Amino acid sequence: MLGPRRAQDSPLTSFGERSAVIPIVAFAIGAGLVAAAAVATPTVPPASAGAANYLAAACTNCHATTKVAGDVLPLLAGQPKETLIDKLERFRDGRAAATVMQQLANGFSPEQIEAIAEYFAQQAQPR
Amino acid sequence: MAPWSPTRRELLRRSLAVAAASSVGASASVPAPGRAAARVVVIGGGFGGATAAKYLRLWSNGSIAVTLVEADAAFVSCPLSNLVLDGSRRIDDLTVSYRGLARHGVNVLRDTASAIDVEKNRVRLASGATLAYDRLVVSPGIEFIWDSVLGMSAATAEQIPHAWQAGPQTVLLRRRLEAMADGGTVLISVPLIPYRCPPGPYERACQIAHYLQRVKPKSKLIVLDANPEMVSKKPLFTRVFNEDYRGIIDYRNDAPVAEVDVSGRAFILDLGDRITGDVLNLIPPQRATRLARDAGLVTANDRWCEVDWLTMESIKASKVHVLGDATLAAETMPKSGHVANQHGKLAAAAIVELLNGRQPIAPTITSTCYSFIDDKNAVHVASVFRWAAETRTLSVVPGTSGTSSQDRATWAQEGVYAMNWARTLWADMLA
Repeated sequence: MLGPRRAQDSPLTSFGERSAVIPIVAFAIGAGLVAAAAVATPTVPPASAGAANYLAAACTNCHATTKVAGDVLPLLAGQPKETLIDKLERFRDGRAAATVMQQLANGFSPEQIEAIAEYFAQQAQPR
Repeated sequence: MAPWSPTRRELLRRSLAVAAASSVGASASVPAPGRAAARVVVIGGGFGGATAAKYLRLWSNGSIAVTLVEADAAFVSCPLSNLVLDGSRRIDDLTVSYRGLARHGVNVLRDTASAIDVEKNRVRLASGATLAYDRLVVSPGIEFIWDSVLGMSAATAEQIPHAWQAGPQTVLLRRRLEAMADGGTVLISVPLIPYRCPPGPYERACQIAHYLQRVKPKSKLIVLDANPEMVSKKPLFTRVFNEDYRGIIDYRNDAPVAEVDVSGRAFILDLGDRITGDVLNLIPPQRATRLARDAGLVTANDRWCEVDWLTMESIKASKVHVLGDATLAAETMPKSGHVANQHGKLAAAAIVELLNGRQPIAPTITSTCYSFIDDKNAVHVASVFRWAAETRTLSVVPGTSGTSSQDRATWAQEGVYAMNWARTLWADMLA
C-alpha cells in the first residue's frame, strides 16, 4: 500500500527518525503504570509482580549480573536499597561525578527508582 | 492433523489454564500438569532476538518453550567491529557462542526461517521443518538495498566491502587496508539516515584514520556523507576529525554516492563528481529483511516494520513481535545493538504478561551508545525512553538525552566503560 513519504526517510538533523503515531485509543489504569494492550483481553487481571524485574533489566545492559574479572562497574545485586536510591539521587542532582549516569538517572521516577533498588537489594550478591 | 497444529479446543484449554495460573500475580505462566507449555519462536539471534529468547525463559521461570532460529554458528558483534579495522581488536574478540542460551533452556536451531504464515501462526524453515508458535518474535536485522546505488550488488561487495554486518566483511576491509600502499586513498560512503548505527560511519572514519596515521601516514581518507551534516555526535566527531586526524580525514557532507565504478575504483556522486580511491567502503542504504517483507510486516516506506511500542507487536500481524533495526524507530531512537537488546526485554516482558492473561506493563528503556575515536578513548550518546500512553509511542524522558562533554579527560574513562559495556551487553544477551 502506498502512503505519504514519511519524515523518517528525509535527511534530518540529529537521528531524524520520526515514527508514525499509531491511532489506537489507549487508557491508563491506576497510577498510569498499566495501559491497555493493542489486543483485547477478556478480563483485567492484577498488575504483574514482574514490574520490578522488567525495570531493573534496563540496568543490566551495562551492570553485570554475574561477577566478571576486570569489571569496572559496580554490581547492583545485593546492594542495600537505601544505598542504591541515594546513589541515583546523587547522580540526578550532580553531587556524584558521572559520565553517563547523570543522564540515565533522570529517566526513572522516584517510584521506579525505589522499585529497582528494592529489586536489586533482594537479589543475592553474585559470587 | 499435524502435531504442531493444536485444535481450537486445545488452544482454548491452554489459554484458560494459563489465565488460571496467573491470578496471583506471579510473573511465570505455569501450565497445568500435562498441558503443553506456551511456545514462542524467535527468529534471529542478534541483540534483539537472543535477548528476547533468554529473558522469556528467565521471566517465565522456564514455563515458556522458546526456540531460537539462527543461521550462524556464533554471534559476531557489530559494536566494536570498527576497531578491527585499526587492528586493536580481532574479529574473534567480538565473537560469542550461542551455548550460553542452551543453559537457559533455549532451544537453539541452526537454521534459516524461509517464510512466516501469520494467519496459521507457523514458521517454515529452510531445512523443511515447520514450527508452530503461540507468539513469534522476529528480529531479522537489515538487508542492503543494492539497486539504490548503480553498479553495486551483493557480488560487488567482495570488491567494495560494506563491512556493515560484522564478520567476513569486516576482515575483508581490514585486509584491503593492510594491502594498501602508504600514500593511498580510502573512501567511505555514508548513506542517508535511517540506517543501522547512526554514529558508526564516523567511528569507522576515526578507526581507519588512526590506522593510517600510525602505519601509513602519507595516506588520506575521504568521507562522503549523503547527509547534510553528521547525524550523530557531530560536535564531538567534528573536533576529533579536526584535531586528531587533521590532514588525514577529508569530510564532505551532502555527498551521496549514486554510482560505483568497480573496476575503476571510483565513486560517482549524484551531481557527477568522480572520486577515485585505493580502498573503497560503501555502506549501502538498508531496510528490514526480505523475510519481514514477505510476511507483510513491512509497513513504512517499503522499508521498516511499524510496531505497537507497548509490546513490540506488529501493527499488521497479531502475535508477531518485531525487534531491532528492522522497526520504524520511535522518534530519535537509534537503530543500535543496545536498543535492540532493550526491545528484546520489552517484548519478552509483554509476552510473559500477555500469555498470563495480564496487561503489558508500560515500558521504560535506555539507549547507551559508545564510539571509539582511537584504540582507547570513547564518547557516548545516551537517552531514556518511556511509554507515552497518549501518543502510544516511546518518548525521550526530559533531561536524559545527551552526549559526552568536550572534556577530553573523560574520554579515556569512557573508553574503559565502553569496553565494559560491550562485554556486559554480550553477556546480558548470551551468557
